[in-house]
Amino acid sequence: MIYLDNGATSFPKPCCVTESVLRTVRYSGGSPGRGGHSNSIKAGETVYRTRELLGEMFSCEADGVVFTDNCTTALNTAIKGVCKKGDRVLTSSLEHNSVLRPLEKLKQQGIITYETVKINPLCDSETVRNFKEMTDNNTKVIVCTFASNVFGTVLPIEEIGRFCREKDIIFIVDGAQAAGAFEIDMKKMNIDILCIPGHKGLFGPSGTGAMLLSGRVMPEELTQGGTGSYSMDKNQPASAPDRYESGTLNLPGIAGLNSGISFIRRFGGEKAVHQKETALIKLLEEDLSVIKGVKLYPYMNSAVRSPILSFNIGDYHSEEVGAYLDKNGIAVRAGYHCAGLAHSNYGTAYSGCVRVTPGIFNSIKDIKNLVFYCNKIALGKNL
Amino acid sequence: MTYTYIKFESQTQGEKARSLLKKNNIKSHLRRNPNPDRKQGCNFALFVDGNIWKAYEIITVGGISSSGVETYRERI
Repeated sequence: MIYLDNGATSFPKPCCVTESVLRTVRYSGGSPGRGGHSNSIKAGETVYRTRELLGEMFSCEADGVVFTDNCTTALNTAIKGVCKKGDRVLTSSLEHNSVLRPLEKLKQQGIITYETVKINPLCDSETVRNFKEMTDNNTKVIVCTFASNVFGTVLPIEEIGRFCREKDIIFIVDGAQAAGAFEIDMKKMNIDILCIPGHKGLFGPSGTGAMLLSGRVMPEELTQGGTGSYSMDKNQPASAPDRYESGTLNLPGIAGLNSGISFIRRFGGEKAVHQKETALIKLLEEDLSVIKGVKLYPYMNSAVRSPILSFNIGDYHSEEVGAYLDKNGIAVRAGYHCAGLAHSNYGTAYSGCVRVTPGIFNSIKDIKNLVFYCNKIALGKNL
Repeated sequence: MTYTYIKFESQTQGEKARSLLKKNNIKSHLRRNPNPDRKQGCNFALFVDGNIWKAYEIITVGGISSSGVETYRERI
């Protein structure tokens, strides 16, 4: 199997991640931050070291790192936790449902109103201008993706962040496609809350994610329960991360995530990951662009691009192409990528599109194989 | 035996303090507090190799929230 769906979840995982998860399941019997026995203390140490690694990677305090099940849970907590009755929220025209649906729910409950701001994938200054023009005195929150999960478009996060700080607007960023592939500095970019998955670019196992808090904003927690602290108090603790982490944490997952982040460091950091994946995407783009009938959607600023390429072939639905490639041992993501808004706004609502997201374990040969089968489809053979 | 330690409400804060002390070349280890405040419930104790007051100062200046220094005499 040639796996080219790393935008959904990275695969394969580095060996150190697998070993770490297995070792934790086999030998670590402790619930982190809870018991007093050595296993439990050791488990808590592993969790804290992972907070430190994430804090260093994204420029926030270790105790601002809140572990979640995935990026969606983090976004739900961030969005529902900061929005107050009567707030107006701005989001982008490229959002995933993990941003859009919590906003829509809050709107239906009569809590907020929200507007989508048009992103020009080829002109950052126009995108920033659009955000500025749509902002009014009642705009309290801007929530947007760092990079589109469909087209790879990278938003001008630093400029939007600067604007948010000037206007005292809470800035929430969905880092689902960016964490591990881009250097994200929460301080420099004025990001108040960064939501990330652990299982994509950070190479952790499924079931891991985090909400990273700058400390400027403390969302309301969505769940209450045991945290291992202030046990005799009926009230939820007020400080992070305990406030948001009721119940037993996913220790094997967090241990695996720790190894995944360490692996990225050994590989050369996010820049090295980005370089490798982008080189493969550029090669794919070059090769596909000369095949008659292939329509590419390189909706990205050429200076900063995310290692994602989407395309369609002829009038085939993207799912037909995806199924054919799967039959030939190639895993890509077809369809609508849980991002109906992005497809509706950028002309791919009719057939969806085929999304290719290589990882660092892919080779040029993998890309050539994909191009070979795309060429066959375009020539009308074997479908 | 009598122990003196710095008290923290959560393991996260205790580990944060431990990490800061390590950067200042002070060894320490974290345990569950054997003598918790019965009204507040569970918390954690940081045992320091060396001058505990110096460690406490570093932690306080470092902005880490602790519940102060406490002494406990072992009963069992």
